[in-house]
Amino acid sequence: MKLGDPMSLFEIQNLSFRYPAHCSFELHPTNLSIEKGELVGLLGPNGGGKSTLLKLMTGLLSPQTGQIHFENRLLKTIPVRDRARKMAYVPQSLHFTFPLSVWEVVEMGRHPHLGRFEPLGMKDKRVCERALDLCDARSFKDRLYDELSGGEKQRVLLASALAQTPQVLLLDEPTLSLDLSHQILLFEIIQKLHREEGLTVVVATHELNLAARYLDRLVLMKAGKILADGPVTKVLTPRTIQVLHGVHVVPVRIAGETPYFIPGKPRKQKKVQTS
Amino acid sequence: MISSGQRKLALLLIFATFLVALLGCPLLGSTSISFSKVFQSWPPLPENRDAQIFFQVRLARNLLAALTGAAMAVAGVIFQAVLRNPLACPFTLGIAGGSSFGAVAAIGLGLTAGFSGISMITLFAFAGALLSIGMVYSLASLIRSFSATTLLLAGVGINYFFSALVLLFYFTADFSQSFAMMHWLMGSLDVVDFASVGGVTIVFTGSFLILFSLSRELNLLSAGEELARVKGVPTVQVILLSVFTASFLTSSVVALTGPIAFVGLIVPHICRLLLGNDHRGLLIGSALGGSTFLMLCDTLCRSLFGTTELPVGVLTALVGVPVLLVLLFKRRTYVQS
Repeated sequence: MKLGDPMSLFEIQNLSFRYPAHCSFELHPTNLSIEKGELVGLLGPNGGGKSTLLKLMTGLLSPQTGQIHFENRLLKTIPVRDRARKMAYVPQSLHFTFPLSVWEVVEMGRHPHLGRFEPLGMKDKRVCERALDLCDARSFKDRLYDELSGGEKQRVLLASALAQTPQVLLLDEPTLSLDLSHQILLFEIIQKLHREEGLTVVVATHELNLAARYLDRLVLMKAGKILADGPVTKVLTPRTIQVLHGVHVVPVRIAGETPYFIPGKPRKQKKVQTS
Repeated sequence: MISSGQRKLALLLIFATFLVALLGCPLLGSTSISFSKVFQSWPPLPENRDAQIFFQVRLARNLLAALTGAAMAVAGVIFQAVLRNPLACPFTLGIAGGSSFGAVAAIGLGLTAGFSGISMITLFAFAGALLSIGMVYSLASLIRSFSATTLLLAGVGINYFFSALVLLFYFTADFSQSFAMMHWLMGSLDVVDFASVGGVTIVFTGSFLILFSLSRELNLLSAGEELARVKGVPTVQVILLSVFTASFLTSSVVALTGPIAFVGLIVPHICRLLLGNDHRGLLIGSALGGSTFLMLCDTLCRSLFGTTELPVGVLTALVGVPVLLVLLFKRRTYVQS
């Protein structure tokens, strides 16, 4: 879709960002547009700019140049409360100085919908319970968040985000510290939320194969630049992965259209340049 | 993990203890009086000695103890939440240092005369507290950061600065002045009238309502500024509003009583263990618990050694620390550093 199209959910134009002081990372001027209902992965190595871009999209960071439009409104002019009703962000991890129960963490998601002195109503409680169900987290709702395993914690954070009843879900490396079975579970939940709940989802991740299997569109990022952007099958090739990660991979087709990429021995360079 | 039923029960018990302390503490002291005799007739007759002691000597002081304890505990909860630091207390932003400096300066300069019922020492202490908050705020705005870490570091720095000035005044004071300074620095509830109790009541009620209305934001802030923002909390505004409301509350109380140690640190922690960390229950529980704790401590100070009074700040620390340690050992998992 074209720039400024009324259907565009996120319209990112010429966005650049630099962390203050001694940090060499820089997000180079970036253009990106995300439509309503998309399931997008920001894929790339650590330090590639995925998390930074995601934080700029939530408004947690302010860009040096360029602008982000969300639903055709300039993001920075939307009050944080209004933003929180529309988009939910799931951080990489969360640490509580003073422990709260899982239920209390999920309840926090209702904050942008409640008035100053308004207590949690029956409707809010139902929203929270449903969020827990969607994330397969109902069974431990009375436990302390800090006592959970990594996979359970991620699902609680996701449930807390869903309790905001958002239209957009932004996840920052949700599978970073999870074992394989929990990585798969989390991606299955994300896929379900996209398909059944109609959520627009943007996931920052460096899990090549999971991203290829569960996501529709991939934005490849390295060193603060977008290298490629498009449907999984077009974007993810041994060549782009070589550029992205500097690792040679071999595509393996087991079933279906999306291949799995496994690291293989680098081929001998065909041409040795001589001068 | 404590169930919500147990929490409600704990809150109810704290409230019951509070009521008993509120009415029971004025009955105790170097002269014992009886409850039935105090309320023999209404209004109490002038010749009713017990009623005279109850209403004119002990009730105002007990109310001040209640308000001071509540204010300290509530402010402690706020500072711990906003700064995300279990060691934060009402004095973290340098209020103890600032108010002590004010009071010590007033004593050192010989300004003991009153000003429409309020002593110069109180006024100076209040001004000193506001000065320290102002300096913390200026430092934070100078480097354009109102994050928890900035406020914490600025507060600790300012506190040391004022402590040094206090020592300087103390060093140059004569014998009677240094006694007066020491007395103030230890914290005491003995100089009080109903007018100042009324004033503190108004400040406390207003501050508590503001802070209680921020309960959910405080829950979110104690989980981190980033999470609070993405869940719709305008973090800078909420941090500033809650920190400065709590500071103002602390300053108003400390100006009258001197910095009473440990109430604002220990009571919130005890309440966290009993009531959990959700601020909706925690703030109410801490207010009631703090006032009960200080009323009991003050009563002990008044009665333990006959007519000689123990400084209440000494007792709050002596009693509070073991209680906290026992609770911490019983539930080791409750706070993560």
